Amino acid sequence: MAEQKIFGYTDRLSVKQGDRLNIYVNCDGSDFADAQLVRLIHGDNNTEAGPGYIEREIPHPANGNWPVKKQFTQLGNYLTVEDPDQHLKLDGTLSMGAFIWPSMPKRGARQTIMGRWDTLTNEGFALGINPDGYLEFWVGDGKEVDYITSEMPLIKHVWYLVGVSFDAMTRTVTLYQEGVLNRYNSLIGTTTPYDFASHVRTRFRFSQHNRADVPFLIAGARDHHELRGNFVGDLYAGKIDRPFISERILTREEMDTVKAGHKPPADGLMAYWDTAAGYTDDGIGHDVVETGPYRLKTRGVNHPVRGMTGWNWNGKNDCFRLAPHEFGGIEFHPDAVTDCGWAVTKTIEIPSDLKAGPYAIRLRVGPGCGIAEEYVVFFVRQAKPTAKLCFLVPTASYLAYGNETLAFDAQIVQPMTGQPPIISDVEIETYEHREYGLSTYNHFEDGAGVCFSSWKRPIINMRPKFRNSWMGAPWQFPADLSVTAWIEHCGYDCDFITDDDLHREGLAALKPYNCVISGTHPEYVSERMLDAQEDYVAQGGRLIYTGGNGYYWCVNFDPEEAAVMEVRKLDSGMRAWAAKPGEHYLQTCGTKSGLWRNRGRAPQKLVGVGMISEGFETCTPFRRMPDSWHRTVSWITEGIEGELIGDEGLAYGGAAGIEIDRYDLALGTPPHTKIIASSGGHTDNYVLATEEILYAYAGMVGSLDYRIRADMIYYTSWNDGAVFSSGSIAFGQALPAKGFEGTTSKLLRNVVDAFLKDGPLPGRQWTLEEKQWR
Amino acid sequence: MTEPLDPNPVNGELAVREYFDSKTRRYLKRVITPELIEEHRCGPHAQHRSEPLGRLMFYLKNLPIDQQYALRLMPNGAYRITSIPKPGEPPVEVDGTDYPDPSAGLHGIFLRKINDLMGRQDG
Ligand SMILES: [Fe+2]
Repeated sequence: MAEQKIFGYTDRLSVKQGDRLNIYVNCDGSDFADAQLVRLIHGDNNTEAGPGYIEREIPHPANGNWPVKKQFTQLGNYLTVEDPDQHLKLDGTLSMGAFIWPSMPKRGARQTIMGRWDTLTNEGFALGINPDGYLEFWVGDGKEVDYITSEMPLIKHVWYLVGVSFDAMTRTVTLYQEGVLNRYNSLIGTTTPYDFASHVRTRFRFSQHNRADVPFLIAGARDHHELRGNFVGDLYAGKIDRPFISERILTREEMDTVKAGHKPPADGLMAYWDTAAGYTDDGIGHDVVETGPYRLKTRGVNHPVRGMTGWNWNGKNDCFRLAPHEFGGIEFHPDAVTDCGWAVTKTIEIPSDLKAGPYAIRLRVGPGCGIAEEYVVFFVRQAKPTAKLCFLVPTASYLAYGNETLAFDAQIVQPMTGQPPIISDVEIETYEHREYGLSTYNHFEDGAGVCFSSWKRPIINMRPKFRNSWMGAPWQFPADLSVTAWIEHCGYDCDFITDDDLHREGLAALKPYNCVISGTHPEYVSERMLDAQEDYVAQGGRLIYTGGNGYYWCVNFDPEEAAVMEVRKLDSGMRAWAAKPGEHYLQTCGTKSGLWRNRGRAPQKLVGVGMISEGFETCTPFRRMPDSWHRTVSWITEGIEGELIGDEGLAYGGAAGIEIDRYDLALGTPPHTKIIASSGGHTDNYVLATEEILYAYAGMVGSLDYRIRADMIYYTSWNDGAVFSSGSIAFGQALPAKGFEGTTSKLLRNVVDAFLKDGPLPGRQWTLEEKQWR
Repeated sequence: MTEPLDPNPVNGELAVREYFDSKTRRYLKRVITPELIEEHRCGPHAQHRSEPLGRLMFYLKNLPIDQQYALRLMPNGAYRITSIPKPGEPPVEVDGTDYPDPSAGLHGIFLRKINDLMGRQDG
């Protein structure tokens, strides 16, 4: 029997009481799975320092045996072309051309640039790259294939104009390959003495035979598998800019005019994709504009990356908004996936009286553990908010980290964390098969950073009990369950909304609540999310940021596909990859990505603190700072004996650490902010964040640099609004320690109790003069 | 006259790194002692490491991924040392030793890396 394994996802991460939720399941080795709705109480199975893993089974009509099956995932980017009248079914003479920037020419597998090709039956025609990395054009008649191959291998990350002309009368075929690199557009410069050009002519034995049902595709070709049916294979890796197809022979001189920047001759032109057309100041959609006589509707699959520097980019303009025609590059990755597209396994109804919070459908097959157990996670939101407290689930950050494999791929990870990874079966399984897409911490196989992440696929690290391998402790969702467990333990009535709810609804989503509490690492925020939280605080809302390295990256959710988040990593910041020059703007909204700090909105402006260091491997307690005794804020530490706060925790035994944030007036911390407590004297594995460094020098490490610390702060805003920040990821994971009765828990309870009450905050009664005393 | 194209050039930097690393290893081989190994065993994450242990740990954590190891959590709750998985391949177990907890396993990896280091020919 095949190995039993089960994976799933939902159509939404946030679902309201009374709504319906679709669940998609892929199962190997079993036709049935045991399904059980569970409320997720605590996610960390560490029983030495905390309560261990806790879930609660919830009675529901959907519990029981679910029929499940094997489902297949189409990986890879390509463009589909709707051609119902079969204009591109060229049975005779044809020419094709495209600017290309291959990223893995010698991939060891065939890559299709464009064509109408059936891999199974060897029918049709296509221009592509052969497994050895040479440009090739081929035709098939259903029995045999004839090829013409360039004499010069393609060099990766160099722009070319490539093309072919096939004269069906004489069966003469001519291949065109010319380098078009300039001072800016390619990896290597003009001084490298390579000859990129190749012009080959030969005569084929036969012409193509086209089947009616084979689609014309860009960056892929039709393939077929007995169980799976039709799919797209022979995927291309790299950029394509302004491809075209003509029904007549194009001479070398005509191709040279294309190389000079002119459009291909209109006479005989069947399709011309102006890949730089249709851009707006607010971004680029998924449709690619085809400007030929038939205006064929063309669309990207799995989010090909748009607005990339094109063959003619000359370095003057750094954004597709400034000079769209220089940004016609579409980047394709054979391992991209933003929607698994499986058939719905089950639609469940969320009971209207189901308490808001984190839930999962627990699915088990066979042994029911390891890869034979899956938790399909979602968050239930109150249909009409009645709670005064709301947990803002950082789903954008869950997506960013979704299926990250840093421990396996990233040379940088052990130097950062200071320890070898501790790996589990579920990671090993998904890494081996790589069916479920990557995180924004990954590189594609071709080396490019991943800038899209989606929840329409299994996310193996967004599940309870999961321990992050490179840190040996829970991270993101399972770590945040330590905060939600604390909320549950304290008995607060709490609603749950997600980042994508907030992005869609803005301030209105936060308005019903007196207090909003974040997760441990809300690192990825869209402009709308940030605006909403800023306005919420200024209008009297109370925000608690229980994390570290938060409010850091500028991201956006795709307006055409809510499940997909986009980020580009650039310039500075602790980052897994660097976007290429000219590719720093979000295609889904047109604004610059990178750090919010570099766009004039450092996290300090909203939450008083911002990223200063990360070091993992060890944590420390906080120490009370002089401000904390000031009677405007002394209520925060009421009932806490001694000067140490958080000498406990599930992440390395302390509340301060992992990733930490600092108060900094120079970055916009509100000047009246009080520092309640601070850490400091972390190990030398804690290093200064790169965005802090102008000149590097020895000693930017925990035991030598006073800036490396977590600052726990409090400030008041307009209309009785206020912000409390812990400045440390480990803070949230310290809450369940000591039976939820440690100093971290006591302190946060003081804050939440005060924040939930209507009217003035404690400490407001003191005079202005006293407030200014420090 | 143009150069013949080598689409997959050898990275010349590898030889330079090897020169640097062999110099480091010659130093490390002199300072690895039972006391240093005991220092690691007592506190794999300790703040105040001796300089030799600190330098050794820097060398070890910066090794290329294909020379690194992982701890694999086994169904019985024990930990075993494996290679770092490569795309499309499961990790390879290096021996059958069960380590009761991560600290013991991390020390096991430390010993194995020292063994690898001592086996390198550095002149
Ligand atoms: Fe992060």
